[in-house]
Amino acid sequence: MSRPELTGRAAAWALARYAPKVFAIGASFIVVWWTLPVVLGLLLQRVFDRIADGQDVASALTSLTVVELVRMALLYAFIAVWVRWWVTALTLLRGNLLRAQLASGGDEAGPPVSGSGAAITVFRNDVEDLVLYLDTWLDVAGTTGFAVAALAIMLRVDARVTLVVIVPLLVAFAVNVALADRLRAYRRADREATAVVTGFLGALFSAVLAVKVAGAERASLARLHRSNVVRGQTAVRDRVLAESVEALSGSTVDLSIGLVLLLASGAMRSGAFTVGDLALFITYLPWLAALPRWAGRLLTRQRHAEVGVSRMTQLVPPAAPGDVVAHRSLRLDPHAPTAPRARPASEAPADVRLRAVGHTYPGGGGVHAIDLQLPPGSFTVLCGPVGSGKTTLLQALLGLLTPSEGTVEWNGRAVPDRAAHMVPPRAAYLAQVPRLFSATLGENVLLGVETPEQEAAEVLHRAAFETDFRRLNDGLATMIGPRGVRLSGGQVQRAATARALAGDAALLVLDDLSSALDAHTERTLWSRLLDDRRHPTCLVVSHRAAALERADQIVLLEAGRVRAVGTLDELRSRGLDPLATPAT
Amino acid sequence: MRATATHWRLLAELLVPHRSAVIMLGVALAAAGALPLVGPQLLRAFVDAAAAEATGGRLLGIAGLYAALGLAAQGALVATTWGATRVAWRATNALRERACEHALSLDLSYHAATSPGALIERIDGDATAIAQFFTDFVVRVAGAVLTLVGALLLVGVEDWRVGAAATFFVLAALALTVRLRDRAVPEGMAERAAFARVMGLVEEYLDGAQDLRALGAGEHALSQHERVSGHHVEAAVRAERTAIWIWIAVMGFFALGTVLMLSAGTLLLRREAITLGTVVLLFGYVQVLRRPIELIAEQLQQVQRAAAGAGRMRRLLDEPVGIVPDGRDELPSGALEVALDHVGFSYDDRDDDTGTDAVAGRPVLTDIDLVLPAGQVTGLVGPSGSGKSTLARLMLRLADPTSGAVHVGGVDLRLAEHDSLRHRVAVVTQDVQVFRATVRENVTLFGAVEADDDDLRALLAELGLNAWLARLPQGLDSVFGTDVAASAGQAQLLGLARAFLRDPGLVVLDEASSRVDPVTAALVEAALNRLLKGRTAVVIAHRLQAVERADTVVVLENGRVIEHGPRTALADDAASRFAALLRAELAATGRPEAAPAEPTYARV
Repeated sequence: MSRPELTGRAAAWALARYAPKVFAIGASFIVVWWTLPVVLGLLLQRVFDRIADGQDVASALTSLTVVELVRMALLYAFIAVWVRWWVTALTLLRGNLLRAQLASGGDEAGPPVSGSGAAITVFRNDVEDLVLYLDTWLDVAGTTGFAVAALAIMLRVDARVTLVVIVPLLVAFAVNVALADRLRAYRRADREATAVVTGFLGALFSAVLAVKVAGAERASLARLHRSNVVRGQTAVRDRVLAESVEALSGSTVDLSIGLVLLLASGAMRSGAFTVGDLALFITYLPWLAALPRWAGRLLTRQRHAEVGVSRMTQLVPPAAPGDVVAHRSLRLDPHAPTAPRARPASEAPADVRLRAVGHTYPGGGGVHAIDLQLPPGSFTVLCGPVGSGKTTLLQALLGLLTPSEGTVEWNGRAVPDRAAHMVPPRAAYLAQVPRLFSATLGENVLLGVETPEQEAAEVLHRAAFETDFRRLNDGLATMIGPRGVRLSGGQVQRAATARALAGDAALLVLDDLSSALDAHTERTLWSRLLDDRRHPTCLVVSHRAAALERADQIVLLEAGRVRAVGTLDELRSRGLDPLATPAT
Repeated sequence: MRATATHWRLLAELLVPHRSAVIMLGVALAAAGALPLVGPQLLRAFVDAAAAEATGGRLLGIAGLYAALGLAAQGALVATTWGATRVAWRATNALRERACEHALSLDLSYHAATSPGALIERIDGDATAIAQFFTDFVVRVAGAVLTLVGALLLVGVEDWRVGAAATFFVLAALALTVRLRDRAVPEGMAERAAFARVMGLVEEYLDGAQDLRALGAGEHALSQHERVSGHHVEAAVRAERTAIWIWIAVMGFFALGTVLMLSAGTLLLRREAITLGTVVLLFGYVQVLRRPIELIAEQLQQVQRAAAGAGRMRRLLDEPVGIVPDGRDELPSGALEVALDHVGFSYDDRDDDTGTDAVAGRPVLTDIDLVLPAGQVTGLVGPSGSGKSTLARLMLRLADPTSGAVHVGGVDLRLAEHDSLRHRVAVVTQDVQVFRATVRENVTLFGAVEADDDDLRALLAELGLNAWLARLPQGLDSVFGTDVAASAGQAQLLGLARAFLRDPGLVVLDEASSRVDPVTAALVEAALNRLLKGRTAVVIAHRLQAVERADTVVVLENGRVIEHGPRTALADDAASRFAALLRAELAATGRPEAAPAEPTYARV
């Protein structure tokens, strides 16, 4: 059970060491920036004492100006260094998480997350929380540096007053700590209430036709109103508590100044506590109040970071939580040309054998003990009712599901890591609902593999995309997606088919092409694919005659198991026509 | 500037219902703004009293008052925040609901051109920006301005020349800050855009993670992520380098102000125009000025963002409503006859951003004159773009014909009473959206149809979902996404349940079974056979096999009816267009002529 863990502090420390020089320079700038007001206080003390004594203040005021100029320069220098460090750190973390999610098998592959909605908050918020936590350490270091120096000076001026005025600061710190948990709970409740509202709006407008025809506008608005009321309450609660914590530190300053006046009144009349000393205390107190505030923030942010880091570690391999903060060199120059991926040498059609392959979902469903032979260059069609496990079987074969059961033999040899093995040029996959990306058509189909234009056009032709392709003004450079040409469902399906074909793989796995294609287009697609003598071994899901008739074997799945295997005629002769449906 | 004016009008509109709360807020705000002004006065009194060797009691009194006022000031600040946040959320929640209601009333062509994500951004994102604008800008900046003006007046009371100089100084500081902010705004926007691109890329890659893993394209995706992040680094550095000048300017002004004020104080003290306590007071007011100037600099950016948000919100609210449901005529009970009386339809001249397929002015439907008898099933066939979906929308009154009239159950739909129309006419769509809500809410659409649990159970059983329902942990109260996931087939059946829960007299089926496997399709077909009894149905078929059940077939082409007649008669007439289409589809699917029709749905 003892799996390695990554704490928020360890993660922050690892991050600090990613670019140690930059980090050290930035850190020293900001610590000096925080500490310099010690000198400002001393100068103001001198100014007021000299004013009270009727002496010249020009030199003191000049020094004051110089110190301020230095602080301004430090701030500029800090930002110049720090922003680059900050965004680079965020990129490192996001890249590490993305690497774990996108790796095809191997030690780097993390458990796939279901639904990008939840994961995106990890990439957006949790990553930022960790960097912010580390950043907060610098402010705490700076305010602590200031506090130590300032308190030493104040103790020398008047020990009694100093000891009393730090009491409100300690109280403020204690309250900050005590409220940190509640603050966090309120913030979380508010975020959840927000997600309920936005999630509902999204679903509502996706279903706008059904809602309108059902006349469900009023009922839906009533539902929105209920979620809105809850969210209004969580938002007010969150905001007021946060403001109260801020106000607390503000009132500490006033309280402390009041105490200074109270305690120093006697000494002031006697002249032991000068107006300069008063100026010193009044200048130092707001800066001192920053320490409990930052310390409180550090505690809150540490908790955020802990939660964030634990969520981040769920995206990387369980055995290697340190992958979250692994140091990797980043190619962040946006103007550097991207090196295209070399095209891997193609392989002959594969001979694939499944032995007891399966996958069981946590709920119990899945596919079980599937034995199947896919001879080189054969065309196998999977069919069966919804929920019979067609997609699951394909994904189990490709190693896209963990844990995977059974073994897969590739040209007679057992495959140790399916996910790593079943990629181009060995296997290529078209998902049931394929995803394309907001990029050019060429980028989407070729995924960075260097391919001559002519070859790319040929792949698009085989995927029955050629007519659509001719209509695109910029050819392969046409942007697709929300910021470019919006493709129809069928076009997405065929472009994604082209993407799978571009892999030039020895095994082609296609999940349910037919759902978005009309029968004619599907027929064209199959003929172009299968009429090529050297076509790869194919395993496809389909219910259409166009595919079933050409199948070397049809695998009929039912409830996660193979019910029958055979050609269309064989199955028909056994009364198992996959094209017919049982009478109800 | 115009955008800002829109913004203020919208804000005023929103706040009217909360007048009394706003007045209370004003009081708290005045207190929070004025209380910090007292501090320096007390400091002067203290220093001068100490110098005059006043009694200890007087000094103690001043000290106590100082602490008490400090607490009161912070209390007023918290009260202000509470009041402002409450008002802001109530007002903007009302705005969210109004915008949502309006968006729901818009034409489907608007929704076809606007993604749900964009609408969330409009309805929630922009409303939140407005709420923040109110709580952060209006309230805080109002308080800050109050403090600023007060401090300058009080300095002016001590010495009018110093007061005038300080006022000039503050105005110059604000002007410069605003200039610097203006310069920083486009850089800030570029930074946010670069960040949005990074997150958009990450989101797409996560969404397509399985595809990328299966295609071994992870490394390539990572290099794309680094490239896009590189742009973000550059944009962030540029933006922050510009933005930091605002803070440097504030620091500089503050330092300069301190030095100038102390010099002026020394000078006046030497001439014995003021006391030492007054020098402390003047110094104190410089400190008081700092926070307001910082705050105003901080919040100026918000104005632009909120103004843009308000502008977008205004445009959404001004988007013309498609259909105004103000008819009075109730639809009769039982199966409904549909009579299309020389119906024509074309999209009017709308702006460019409404859909690419909706070409303004081009007639989508021309002179459709049909009667679909009550209780019959009519299949609408034709190539895509022939006007099938538009015709169906007219029957559902999701749009009104531009010429002619649509009568359902003898009632012109434009005169039909809205509730009765929505209860008597239903649709089953290809894609059924399942809400993260209970099974009950999903079927009744949040209670839009009143139905007791027994009705719901009976209907779900009719659709063959009883075994599924029995397995759910919370029965009808199980929540989709939490307790239960819906497959494509189940979603389709859920769509049927939604449609038939309300006992419709006319049902439009948008080729309901195209996405499901033969077994589920058979389940759907069997349920339809039972449920369609005694109702009129219109089946929009993208594939001809879907009109198997139709009594009558209407063939559309280029927005015109080119054929209309009994299905069997048309199918048997080799010269008919329908028969030609059937032959074409047979050739395409390659089904041998002798084989049974695909799929052979048993009629019960």
